Amino acid sequence: MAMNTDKAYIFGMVIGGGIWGDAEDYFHIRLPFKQWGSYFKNPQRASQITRDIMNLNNMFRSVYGITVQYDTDAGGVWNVICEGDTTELRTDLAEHGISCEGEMRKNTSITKITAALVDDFMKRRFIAGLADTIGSTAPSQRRFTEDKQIISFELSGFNFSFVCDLCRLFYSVNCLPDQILWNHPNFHSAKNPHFKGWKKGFKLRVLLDQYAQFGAFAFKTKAESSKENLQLQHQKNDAVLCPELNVSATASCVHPAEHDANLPSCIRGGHYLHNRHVCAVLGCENAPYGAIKKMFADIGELVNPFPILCKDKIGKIEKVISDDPLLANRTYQISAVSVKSLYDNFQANNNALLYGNAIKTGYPISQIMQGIAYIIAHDNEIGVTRVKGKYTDLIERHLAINQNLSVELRKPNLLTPLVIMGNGRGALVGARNPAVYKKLVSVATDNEYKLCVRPITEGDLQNA
Amino acid sequence: MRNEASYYPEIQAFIEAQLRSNFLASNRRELFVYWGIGELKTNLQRIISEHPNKCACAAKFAKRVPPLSLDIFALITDGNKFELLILEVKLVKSAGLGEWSQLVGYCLVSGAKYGLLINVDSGGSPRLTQMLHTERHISHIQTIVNDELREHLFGFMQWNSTTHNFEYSNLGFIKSLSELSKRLASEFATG
Repeated sequence: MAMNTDKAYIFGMVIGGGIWGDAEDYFHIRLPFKQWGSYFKNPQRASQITRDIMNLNNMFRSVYGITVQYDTDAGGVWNVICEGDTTELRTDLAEHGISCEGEMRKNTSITKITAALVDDFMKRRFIAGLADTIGSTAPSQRRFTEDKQIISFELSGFNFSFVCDLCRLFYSVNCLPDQILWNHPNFHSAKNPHFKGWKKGFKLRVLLDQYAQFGAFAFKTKAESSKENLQLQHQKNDAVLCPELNVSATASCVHPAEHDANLPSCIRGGHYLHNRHVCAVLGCENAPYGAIKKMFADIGELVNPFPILCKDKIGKIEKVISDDPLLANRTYQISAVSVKSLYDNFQANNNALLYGNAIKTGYPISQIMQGIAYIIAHDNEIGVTRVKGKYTDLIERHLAINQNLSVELRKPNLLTPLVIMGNGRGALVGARNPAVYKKLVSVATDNEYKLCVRPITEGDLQNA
Repeated sequence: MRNEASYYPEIQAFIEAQLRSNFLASNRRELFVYWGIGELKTNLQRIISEHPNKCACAAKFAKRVPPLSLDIFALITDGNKFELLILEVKLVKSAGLGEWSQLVGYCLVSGAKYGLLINVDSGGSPRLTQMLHTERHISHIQTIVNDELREHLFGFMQWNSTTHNFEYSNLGFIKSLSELSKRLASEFATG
């Protein structure tokens, strides 16, 4: 089978959203449009989406003789139902090493198929198929402000190589990805090693300026939405080549899911300081290797074997402590501390470290204040464990009502996490202790960019 | 307000890119697409004089073809063989039999094998749609001219000016650009 531009588009769609079962004459393409495509939220757009899908019908019929229908729900998930003899489509995909099983983007390698896209035009047709399925043009897709509008390609699962190949494909048509978010606990739960819901998926984000120039859509709804978003910008944005990126990182905690069996073996067991650090470990030719290596010099500042900030109901925090002998076997000095005095300290220096035992050690006051905000908040001021609005606003609001507000602080005899309690809630704040933490980190024998962190022991803390 | 001629460049660029891309994928070599807007004979002669190495194969044809005023046409060649594609681009609420007949007439008179009726941002009239569904022969016409069998293949598509992309109608013999590419690839297969 020779690849062609129509097939390239169809393959992009099928790989982006295709879900296959046992039936040989049926599969569907899931379009996870969420609120953006919900008939409940935006009936006019929903009506246009139906038109876009019916146009697909003609494309699928003319190329593969497959007919297309759709269903949708108020949540904005659209299913393109594909019926007919799928043998030819399956055979074509099989030629590129792709088997039609389950949710394709979760288990498919696109290495072979992208190699068959002979020129930029054909590549763009494939990208358009993916963009129409998993490319989000929701207005919330922006970097910090409306001046940097984004299209975000969103994937669930653990198909790291898919994301890597897709990123390479963008690169090859001069459409430089702006940000990449890997489905890894170091990014989805960088502060809290006890957060189990870290599997939030991958995001490959491209500036809309770039995508408008080098990418494509076939869905009119996506093209229009992308144009609307672009109009919100007051400036043009240029993309930066990955090797020239300025990479900076903040500390992340060691998460037990770094060893999750779902992670590919080359990633599993590693700790990652930055999303581009994953690119380097995966061996991407565009990764900013120099910048990543440079970060290794400050590794003790960037890795924390304890929670940086873990907030939860008091019972769960107590269980975290009792389950970990290093935390359970501490003696804690318990005191009631004035929120106002801590907040005054924070305002004087929000980078201050409290209760340390040496230079550059101690508990970051900014994390302590976030923990306190969670603890003193009324029930209607928090989501699950997240304070609604700015945490400093919440603290000021409460102090304005009660200047004598206090929380219970449990200070351990070694620099294990500080415990803050009150109001039926608790928070753990991990200390900075770079000299000790640095000793926990080693470089993997098979990959000079992969960092492994061993568990911290009482001895490490005592001998500091 | 744009007129139909303002869409020519984007439509030309898209078709050319698809044909070249698909030919490269199937035949592993380059395909050349040269465009003319307006009168056929003069434009053909111009194209041949500008690209003698690639278009010499069309010289005889250019001599005998009658003068004919067209919207757009493409001389498609691999350097050894050539085919003519005529586009009838419309910017109307619904393209009807009149537009279809115009395209068929141009192709029959010129001898062009391929013809596409393209309506910008709109589809076809119910009458044309029904005719193309049921009367297959009106999009696949064979004629005998000077004892020589000629074949004419037609398709009807919609140009989406927002996405800069074709939306297929599934009407006519040529249902997609990839199908057109496939036919060209097999005709030029021997090189």
